[in-house]
Amino acid sequence: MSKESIQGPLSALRNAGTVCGVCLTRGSEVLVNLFAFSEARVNDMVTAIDDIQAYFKKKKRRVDQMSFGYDGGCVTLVEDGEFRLIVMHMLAEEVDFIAKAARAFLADFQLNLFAEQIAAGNTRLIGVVPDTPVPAALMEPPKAKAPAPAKESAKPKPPVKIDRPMPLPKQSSVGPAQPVKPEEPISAESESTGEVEWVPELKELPGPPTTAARLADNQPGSTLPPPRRPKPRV
Amino acid sequence: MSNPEKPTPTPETAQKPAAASGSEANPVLTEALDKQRPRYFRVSGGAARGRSGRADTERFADELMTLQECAQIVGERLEMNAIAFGVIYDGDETIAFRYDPNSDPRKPDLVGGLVNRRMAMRELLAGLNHYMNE
Repeated sequence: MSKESIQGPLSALRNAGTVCGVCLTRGSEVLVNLFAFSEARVNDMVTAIDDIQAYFKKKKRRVDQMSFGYDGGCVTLVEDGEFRLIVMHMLAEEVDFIAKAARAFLADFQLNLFAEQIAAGNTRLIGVVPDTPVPAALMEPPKAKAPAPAKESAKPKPPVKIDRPMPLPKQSSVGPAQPVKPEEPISAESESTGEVEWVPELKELPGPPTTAARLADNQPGSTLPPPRRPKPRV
Repeated sequence: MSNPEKPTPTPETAQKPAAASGSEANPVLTEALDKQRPRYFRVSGGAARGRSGRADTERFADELMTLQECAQIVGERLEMNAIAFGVIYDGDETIAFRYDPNSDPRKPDLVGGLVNRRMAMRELLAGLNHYMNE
């Protein structure tokens, strides 16, 4: 996974709401740091948080989300597996929104890692990679195979020889087919009987006015000045 | 971090601490656990007070010490020493505390809460505010 593909969503989270710092870690290792603090301070904080989580794990407690509020902002920590996302934000009311976004990011991140492992042919992924043997406990019982659909690209089969005519399936609801009568031509009488009842009369639409506008007698032909004629040069 | 002499509650005692201590079940605690409502506590002058029984209050005091120390460790690294609140999700449980801004800064009071579900942090902090102003 490229660093750019991680930094894109992290930058989006960094610019969301009142978030002012994001840091993705694995244990005490900083993977992506978008905090405004110095690198040493962020490393120090990440180590301290790793110690805190190690303490909780030692006590067999599953603390996967923490949030602390201070005078200068809030720090929210979300853990998923071995990865942690530390987000610093200003408003305490945003903590649930940020935690949800962080959890969604971590889930996507882990899924991407899993997909990369499949693409790289990781043999630890039992059953996912075709060459790896699947344990018998994970095997499903064999099912009856459904008939495969006929392939168009297959070779044309030889025509089946039929010795006797095949009986047609009987349909109870539909009777025997009746011959269709040819349509009778429409006679003049049928028209007069009223099959064509009403024909709208075509009315002439009002066209453009026939009378052209006239100028007054004392009005000049054009208000534009007369065209200038070039003077012949001598 | 917390007092190592005190036993860490097991998941069973975490759900029903009063039953684990062998004492009679507190009705407030029983009702709060059944309805998954927060149990609130007030800490003033080094003493914690709650309505859900002694065992539950003792457990809250333990959790508060741990949580305060965690908040202090992280805050020191970021050079932010004035702690306002702290919330954690511990399995299916939520633990929170909040300082009372109207109390004496030399002897600050605080309120805290325990819930036996993953409650929205904002909701729990709002509940603590409400309890603080009661």
